[in-house]
Amino acid sequence: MRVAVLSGKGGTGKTFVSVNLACAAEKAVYVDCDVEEPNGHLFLKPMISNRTPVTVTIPEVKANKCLGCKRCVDFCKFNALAYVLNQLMIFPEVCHSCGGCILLCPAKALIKSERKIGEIEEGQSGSVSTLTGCLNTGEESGVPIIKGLIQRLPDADTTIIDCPPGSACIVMESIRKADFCLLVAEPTLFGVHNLAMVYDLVKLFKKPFGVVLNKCLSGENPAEQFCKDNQIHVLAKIPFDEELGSLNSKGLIAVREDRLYQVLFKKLLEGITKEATS
Amino acid sequence: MKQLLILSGKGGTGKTTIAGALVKLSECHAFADCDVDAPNLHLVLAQNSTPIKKDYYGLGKAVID
Repeated sequence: MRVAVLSGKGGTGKTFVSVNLACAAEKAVYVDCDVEEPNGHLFLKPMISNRTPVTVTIPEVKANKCLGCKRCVDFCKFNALAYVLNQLMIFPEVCHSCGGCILLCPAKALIKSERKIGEIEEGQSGSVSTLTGCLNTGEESGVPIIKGLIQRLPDADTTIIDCPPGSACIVMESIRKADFCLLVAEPTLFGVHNLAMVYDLVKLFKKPFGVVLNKCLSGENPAEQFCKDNQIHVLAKIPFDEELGSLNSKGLIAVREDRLYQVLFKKLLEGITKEATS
Repeated sequence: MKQLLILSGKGGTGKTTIAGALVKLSECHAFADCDVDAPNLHLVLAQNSTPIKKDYYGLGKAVID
């Protein structure tokens, strides 16, 4: 079973929920798809066994073959190529790897070349295997790294996919192969606004889903109200608990430290399994 | 024109809250919410007038000749 944990808003507790769900299972795979700022490893502290570079294809020019026809320059919508002072220049950072310039070049002066944009780390933390995507700072898109992570998903085992915030390409890529989407919501107006966005996204993808209400205080909870109004199943409520905050800030995993949270997350995992397989 | 940029790396640290407060205090002439995936600044800075919405276009779409 593959569970994607997403939220729209940042800082609602995706990584906290993902890591604890993975640790509540007997055996699990934790996948950090928040490639711009992966934080799951700060909780899990995995022993890294393997690092694989992730590359994208970019053009490389064989200057002695270039005729200076500028067909490639005119073709590229991202201006990744320029013909300056009788020389073809390539700007790898803006290239979107479409390969069009290589196809069009009449002199075959452009060839494929690889550029590293980040890496995938494989590791182990107790009963949890980890896959972490790391995008180099300043890179345009983490989608190639997410694709690499999703390709590596095992078929068996409980797999928890910790998604990036938002609801754009990078999130869609992360939830594509998920059997169930778990939406983490916090009780703020911002939280509700961004919950509504990911709610639309999982409906668009026709994924079974449910909500975890995080940081719950007594009194009104706009995120809970949103779930009521839209008849969304709330699978768990996690309190705004000082003890929990203290554990999190030290990078400790609540499920491994506190019996109460062990019970809460085991129940949540059971609830998800039931919903995902029904 | 002086431009002040607010950023954080991690989500939920308070970028929008700080930005909202500074927009009010500075009485600035313009502000921009660049969190286009999940914009929230408009929720704190409720406008008095109805905003003008314009479609935004990216690159052209392929057509069959």
